[in-house]
Amino acid sequence: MMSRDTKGSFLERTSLLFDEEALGKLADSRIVVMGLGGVGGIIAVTLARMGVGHLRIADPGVFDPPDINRQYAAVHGRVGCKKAEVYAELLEDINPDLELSVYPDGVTEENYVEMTRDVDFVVEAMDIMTVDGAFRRKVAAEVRSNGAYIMLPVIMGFATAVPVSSPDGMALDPFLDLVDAARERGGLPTALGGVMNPHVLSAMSQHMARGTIPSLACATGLVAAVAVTEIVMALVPPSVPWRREPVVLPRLILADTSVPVLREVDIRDFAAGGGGGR
Amino acid sequence: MNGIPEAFSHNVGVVTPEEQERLQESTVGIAGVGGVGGNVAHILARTGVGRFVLADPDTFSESNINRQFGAYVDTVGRKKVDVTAELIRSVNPRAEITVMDEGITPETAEEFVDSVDVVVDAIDFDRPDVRKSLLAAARRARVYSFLCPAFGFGASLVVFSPDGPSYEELFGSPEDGTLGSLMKYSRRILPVIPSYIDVESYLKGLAGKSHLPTFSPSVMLAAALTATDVVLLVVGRREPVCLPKVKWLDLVECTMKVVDTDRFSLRRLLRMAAVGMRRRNA
Repeated sequence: MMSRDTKGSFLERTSLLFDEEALGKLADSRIVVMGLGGVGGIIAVTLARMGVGHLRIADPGVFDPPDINRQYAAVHGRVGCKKAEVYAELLEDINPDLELSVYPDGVTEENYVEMTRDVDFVVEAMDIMTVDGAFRRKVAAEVRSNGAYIMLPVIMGFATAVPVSSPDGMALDPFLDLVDAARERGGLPTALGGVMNPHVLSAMSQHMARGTIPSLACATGLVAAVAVTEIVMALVPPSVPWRREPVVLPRLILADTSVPVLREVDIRDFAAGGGGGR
Repeated sequence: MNGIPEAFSHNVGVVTPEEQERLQESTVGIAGVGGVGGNVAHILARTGVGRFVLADPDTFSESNINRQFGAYVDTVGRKKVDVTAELIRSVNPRAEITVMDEGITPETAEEFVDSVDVVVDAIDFDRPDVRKSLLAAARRARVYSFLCPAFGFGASLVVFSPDGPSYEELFGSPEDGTLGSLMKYSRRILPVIPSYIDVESYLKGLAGKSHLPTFSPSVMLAAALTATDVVLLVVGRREPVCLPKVKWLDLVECTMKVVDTDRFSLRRLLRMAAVGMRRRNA
């Protein structure tokens, strides 16, 4: 169903499956991406490539050499550059019609209320090691009170977990509890071994106990794929033929390309353990 | 961490230091650096793979921007291999990159596979002749080839082992263009038609006669799946799942599984298509 508008445009191949209504909905959608690390950066880029019309991006950091192993825009020539400014340039080079708001100070006590006003979806991808659970809970509660979706996608080895909280469903808190527990214990929940690669899981936990979160770029492609699909499902109208309900808490999608597995799980099965890394 | 550049230091934990060194010493050949191929190049560059051979005759166009790694308004009109090589170097200045900007031809397929440890076949569907030369050359050189098509919200990973069945044994002769040979080819490459895609566009797409709907999420997933198996193979951790078995996944169906394409039948394909149609009309 190719509309006149998309022929020859960057959305031409997308429009073979996305009708005008679906593309129009994405163009009208407002999405916040909090944190432009290994998870947030590639998701912001993928959302722009899908034709999302309004993005707000926030990150206080600059690129460091160890970011290069996984972060979409991290290259040697940009070490020391502000992440928010670098991504702003990339996103505008994908879709010049994109309406973009840039927050180079990151998400703060002062700006999070304004940043999450009148939005459809928030991607919470703030740094796992430095942003504390109390602030995450405040942000999630604000998003929920505004009637928007929020997700907190994480990568772990070759795996990803993508919890989404619907404004009408379960809050993000049970997943935030898992993240807090993982940070305090310095390890991932052992119950994850039933789904993801158990060898990678135990190697990761050993490193996390010493204060570093190992990562590999493979999982960034995976998290972008799963997260952006769930965002699309939440945004496009039910009349779109291929649309299904987004997977929302207490259900979430877990995937591991090294197993390989991609499926829904119930967060209550992991309640005893911890969260993930970026 | 001896010998591991700071840029790749965080890989350790997912891979061992010895495996990281093996990545740095390995050579990956990527035929086609558009959607899946370009994103595989990107991911592998960040894992620290040290040498690449990139082949693609095309330049970026605007319609690539919805999914291809190097495609930006700014790079439209530039050669895909040149842009991709620049991006790899920006991630890893020590990477050794060979560029073949006329793409793979029956004459250059040997040269392409000559120096590589593994082949990523991301050649367009409208060039089955080129695919045939590449896969035959890879088989003679005794390297694995990874074919990783993505369409709609789905993707598959098709791996040719040098010891497995040959191109002719698996596919017959898809280049003759008959429906029968096309079905034989497509059931191996994209073994499941998702419920939201009609059979006609699937077959036309695989014949290279029309474009399949392709966009970023499934392309990213295909690239992640391919890069994962390339990494695990070159570090020596495990062999990939090879033909006649194929990995298939779909983000609408929320499923990833291994499909035995020897057990696949036309009847099953048509039945699935009918179920899909009923679901759409419901």
